[in-house]
Amino acid sequence: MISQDHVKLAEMLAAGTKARRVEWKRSVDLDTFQLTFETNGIKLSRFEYDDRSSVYCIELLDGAGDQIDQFDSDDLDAFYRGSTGNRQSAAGSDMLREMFESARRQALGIDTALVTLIAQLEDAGVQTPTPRAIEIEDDEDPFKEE
Amino acid sequence: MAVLGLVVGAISLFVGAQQLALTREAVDKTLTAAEAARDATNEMLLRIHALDAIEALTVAIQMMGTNKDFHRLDVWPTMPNRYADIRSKLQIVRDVLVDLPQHDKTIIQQAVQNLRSMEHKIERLLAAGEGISRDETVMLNHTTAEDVDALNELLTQIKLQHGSGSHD
Repeated sequence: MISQDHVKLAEMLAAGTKARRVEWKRSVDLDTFQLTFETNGIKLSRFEYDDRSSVYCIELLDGAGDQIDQFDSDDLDAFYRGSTGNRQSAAGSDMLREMFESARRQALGIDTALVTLIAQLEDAGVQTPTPRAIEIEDDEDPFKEE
Repeated sequence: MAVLGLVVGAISLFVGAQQLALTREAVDKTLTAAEAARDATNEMLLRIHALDAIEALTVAIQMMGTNKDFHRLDVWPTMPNRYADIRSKLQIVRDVLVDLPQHDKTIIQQAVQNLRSMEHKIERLLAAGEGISRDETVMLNHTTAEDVDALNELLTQIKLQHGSGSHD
């Protein structure tokens, strides 16, 4: 069972990540990104299972880099289900999934790379194509008047 | 006779006041000298601490550089102990230079976290009897190189701040 402070930490991390107030970096482990503070750290990992479901895990690290606590998206889901009465709530999983994707994009520099590549293509004279209308065959158009 | 007594008393008082002033001046000088000696000692201690930190950081960076070669040569069984040794050197830097700015402490913490992750990863793979793939080696060396770059910048900064160039 996680505490109110665990939930608060997860929510603050999610907000800080969304606002780019924290700087996620790569870790040596697959699908794991990390934050570093003066004498502590945080790791965010994704574990994928055979049924294609994912669990997101937050680890708290001490000054020696050792794990001192951890909780995951299932713990957060259980907390939100208990506090809201919504037995189907996946608010914790949704929050950590979104945070993980943002952390991944930031740590790998994906957004920066996209902007740079688009700028270079524009410099090379490549035009942004206009969206093409979807061509629907007459016999497939459900709105065609008979 | 009474006048003579007053004169003698006044002279005695004057001489006493002079002696008191001289004594006070001597005490002040002694205190100033003691304070100067204390300041000099503190400064010397700070300098010794800075030199300790510079030495520990230099060794840590050298060991991390060698780690990249060891990774390429697959010298895995010795690595966990090396990672731990380097972490303890970085801990010395953090313990000794307690007034490091937040950004610099973060650089050290980042390296410590990565070394701990490497230690854990290699221990786990060795215990499972699994090998370390080329991709994983590349990732380990990439992370090590990034940390070495950041720590080298920190080392240069500490040397400049503490006026040392003798521990290269």
